[in-house]
Amino acid sequence: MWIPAQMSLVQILILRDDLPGVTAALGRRASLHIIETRDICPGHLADKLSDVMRDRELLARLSGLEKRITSIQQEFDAASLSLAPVVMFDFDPVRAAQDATSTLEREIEPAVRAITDRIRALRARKERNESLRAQLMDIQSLDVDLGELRNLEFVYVTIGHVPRANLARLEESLREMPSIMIPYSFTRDEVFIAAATLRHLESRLRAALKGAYFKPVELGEELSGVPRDALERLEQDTAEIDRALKQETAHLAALGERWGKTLRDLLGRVRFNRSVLEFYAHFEGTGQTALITGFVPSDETELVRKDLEEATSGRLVFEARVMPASAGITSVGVISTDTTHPARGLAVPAVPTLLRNPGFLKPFESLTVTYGRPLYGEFDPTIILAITYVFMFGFMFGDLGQGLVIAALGALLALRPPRALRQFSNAAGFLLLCGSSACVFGLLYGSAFGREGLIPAIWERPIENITSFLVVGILYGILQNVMGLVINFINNLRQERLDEAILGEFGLVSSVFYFSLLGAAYCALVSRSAVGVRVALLVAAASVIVLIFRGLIMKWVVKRGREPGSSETAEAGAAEAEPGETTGLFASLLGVFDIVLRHLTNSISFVRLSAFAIAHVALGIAIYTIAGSVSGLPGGRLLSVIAVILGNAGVIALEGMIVGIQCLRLEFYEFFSKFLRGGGVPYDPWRLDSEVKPGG
Amino acid sequence: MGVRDLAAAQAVTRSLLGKLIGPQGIDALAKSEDVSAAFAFLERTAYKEAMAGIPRSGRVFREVEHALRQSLIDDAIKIWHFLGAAHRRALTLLMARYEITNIKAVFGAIEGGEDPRALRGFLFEMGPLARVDLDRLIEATSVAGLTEALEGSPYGKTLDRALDRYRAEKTLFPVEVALDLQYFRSLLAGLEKLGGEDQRSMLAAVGPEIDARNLLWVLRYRFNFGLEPEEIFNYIAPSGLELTDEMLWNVARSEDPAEIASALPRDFGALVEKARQGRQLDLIHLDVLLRRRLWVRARRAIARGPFSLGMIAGYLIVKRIELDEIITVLESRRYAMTDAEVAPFLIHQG
Repeated sequence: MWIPAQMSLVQILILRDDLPGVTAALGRRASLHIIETRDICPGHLADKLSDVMRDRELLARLSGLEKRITSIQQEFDAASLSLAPVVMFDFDPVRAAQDATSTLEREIEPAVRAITDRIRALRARKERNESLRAQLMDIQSLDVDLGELRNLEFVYVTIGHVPRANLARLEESLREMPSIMIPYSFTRDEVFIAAATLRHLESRLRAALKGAYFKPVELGEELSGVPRDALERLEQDTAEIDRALKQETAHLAALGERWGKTLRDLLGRVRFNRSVLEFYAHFEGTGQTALITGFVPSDETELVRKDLEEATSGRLVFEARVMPASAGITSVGVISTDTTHPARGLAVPAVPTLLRNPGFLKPFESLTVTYGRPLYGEFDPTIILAITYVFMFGFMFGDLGQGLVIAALGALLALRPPRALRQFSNAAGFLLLCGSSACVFGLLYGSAFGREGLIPAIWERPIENITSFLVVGILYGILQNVMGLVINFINNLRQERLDEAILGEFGLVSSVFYFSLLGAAYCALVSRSAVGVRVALLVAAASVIVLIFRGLIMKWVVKRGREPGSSETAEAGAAEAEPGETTGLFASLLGVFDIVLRHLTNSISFVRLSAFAIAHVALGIAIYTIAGSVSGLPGGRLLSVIAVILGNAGVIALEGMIVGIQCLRLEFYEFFSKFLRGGGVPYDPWRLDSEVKPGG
Repeated sequence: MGVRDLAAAQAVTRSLLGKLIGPQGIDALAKSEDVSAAFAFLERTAYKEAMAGIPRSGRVFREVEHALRQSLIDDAIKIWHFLGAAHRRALTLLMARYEITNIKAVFGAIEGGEDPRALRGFLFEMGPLARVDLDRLIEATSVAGLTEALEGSPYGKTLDRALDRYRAEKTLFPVEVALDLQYFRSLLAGLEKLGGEDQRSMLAAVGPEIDARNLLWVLRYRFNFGLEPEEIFNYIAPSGLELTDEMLWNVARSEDPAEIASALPRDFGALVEKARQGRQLDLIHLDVLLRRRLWVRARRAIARGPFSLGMIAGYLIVKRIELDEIITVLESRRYAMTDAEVAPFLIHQG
């Protein structure tokens, strides 16, 4: 829960004869995140899996067939597909491709295509009618014969549309040509125009229009007479098309009934074979053996090993190496400690990140991932995010009544979500927790439905003691900032980035600076110790000096044998210390100024916790003031109840949303930015892809 | 947004700037006797990393060129990681030219009847800057398939319309122009959204490039393709920094270099005069001169705004031009050209 699941790099050497069994076992277990074996062991094994298993054309053919089958199914009715658990078919891709091709080409496709072609033609005709109709609607008031408009002797007229982005340029390009251009209708991306010029300038107008990607509306030969009559004829034609479309759709449905099951069987076989072939593309082998490589969560390696031992009757070599936390950041894992091993010291593709958080934390996990998926070995802040987010939400939105409404909404989404809200059901836990937190703080503040005094305050009311409330906000901010600094330090140590841990933007030296500032503030404001203040400021100044020269220190470290560019500190440090760069020292000072500023602003930023809590009370007062002022009107009692209900609903919807965003802002910018690098690769284990239920 | 948000990205950019080989490096590279010596020289510079992926024996020139250019995108990706969301968007738009190059390459392959999958190794890996799925792109076997692969991407709508013309005219010209135009329009719209100092500093770096492109496009369309001014005017990007629509319109209607030079601001006019050969204009020479001007302006953007977003754009332009020069030198060694023959094509000597 605190860090992504530990991964092991697994290499499995098996006999080729055991491949089908191993494939099935791995596909069912769905634990192996496959990587290219050749990336780990280039040239290690002479690739002899060059027959069917390496046939890219066959793979492409199977993918193509899969698309063809699903597109026919879509023509019928995709909803009729039934899903089932993974089903094994025989691995025989050549046969599967042949059977599918033959059935499709000889029987199904010709019959389906004949009908779908007719449907397409009818739809195209209908679309054209609709497009012509739209054009004619705009000019229906004209009493001009369309045929005559096409055949004007001295004037060239054209109607059509250009992309909106091209309109300004087109207008500019026509400015010196005797011409008229009238934009008469706009869609989101297009603008319809009518353009005209003298017949002898037709080629220049056409050139300009061509340059603007003009698409003329073809007022086809079939359109004649005045627009009104043409419109009537078009509508009659459209009605006929609708009747024909209905008939053809019924024919297609009948075909769907007849071929539906056959298509499902074909799709299952093709998909299974394609999936296995794709799997084979990742590993290498000799004539007799195959070497499969990938990442498996360390706690599942034994299960995978057992599955494979069963599938191969124990004829396999199974090697699992636990990846160190530093592998996530350096992407170089120790493949083998054996110095003669050909793959020793080679770069391992990024170790995937598997976050394992309990179900109720999933909404918070998705927030963490929105900021950046933790790298392998990096701290997963989801649990802390959940606790602090819920705490801060309650702190800012402390209200027993409104909290209950939010929690009830969460409970409703979790237990029996209405159809319209079903898509939000994964936010149920999130709302339940935030609502409950708001309730708890509502009790502490003595606030319910924006009304102060309705219930007693267990702690204190924000509006009655603003100053101390603001201090609480800052103190909480300091606590969360310190937490960020500690996590950053641990993270860097775990990932063996000592330079970053000590000299990084939020490393040890930077933390010492922050703590000494806190110490100085404590000595000045609480313990009133002048010596304490002086000592603390001295330490702070020393830390700043170290930070200013961290570039030089890093350069020295790099010279002493560290790889340059191994971390941002090294890279930034080297850049700052670049000889000959006039901006070097200034940049370094600016960098330190930035660090100092961020420490201060990150702490002060948490004042918003208290500010929002106070603002919440103020909004409550405003609601009841409005309710009080309308109560004197006729029907005042009812109006006043409505004002209270609407006011509370507004506060829940708007202030609730704003507070939610503010919490996220504090988490992302003030907290996560201290330690979370992100950019992890999601763990995506290979699984057998044959979810269509086979027949027979 | 400002100095604080850009501090880390600028630090990285500065470190990358220090790795460029600069004009002296190009001159030293030009002293290489042959291609192998030139490759060996590059391996002693920061380009070593870019060339590391290519086996030394049997190096293919195209692979080296691709690897070098990819290094620019890799730099942009490094910088991107240190930027905030708005700046990331701007950088993505700036680097989209390489994604467009990818799309054009796949179009070209399909048009030429080749299998786009063979191109995979020569397409630019855009990493987090990607807005289209390359693997899906190369699976396309026809122009229609490619359009389908690009559906929903920022290029989908642009191509939809351009393809109507492609089908009618049987040339990729309208597709390429549409993509280029979209690139510059999106970039400028993106900068507009940034606003303030970010927009100003980016324009200082990117604007001269738009000016140069517009001028060259107008001249090429006019003299090489013989297009009507009305059509040409529709193919140019929104105004850059100094060349206004009015000036470009006058250039599009000009008949000879003297008329062109007089339609332009003094420094552009001087470049046109320099590239003039009697009543003809040497567009290749003008291209080199304009790129030199761009290089100077980009260096200036770095120097004048060391803490701005424009500094990052400036670095990317300077490196791109350096890569152009390196590739020019490598080509010259490959075809055994003399120093005198290659000198006019070297931007810093132009």
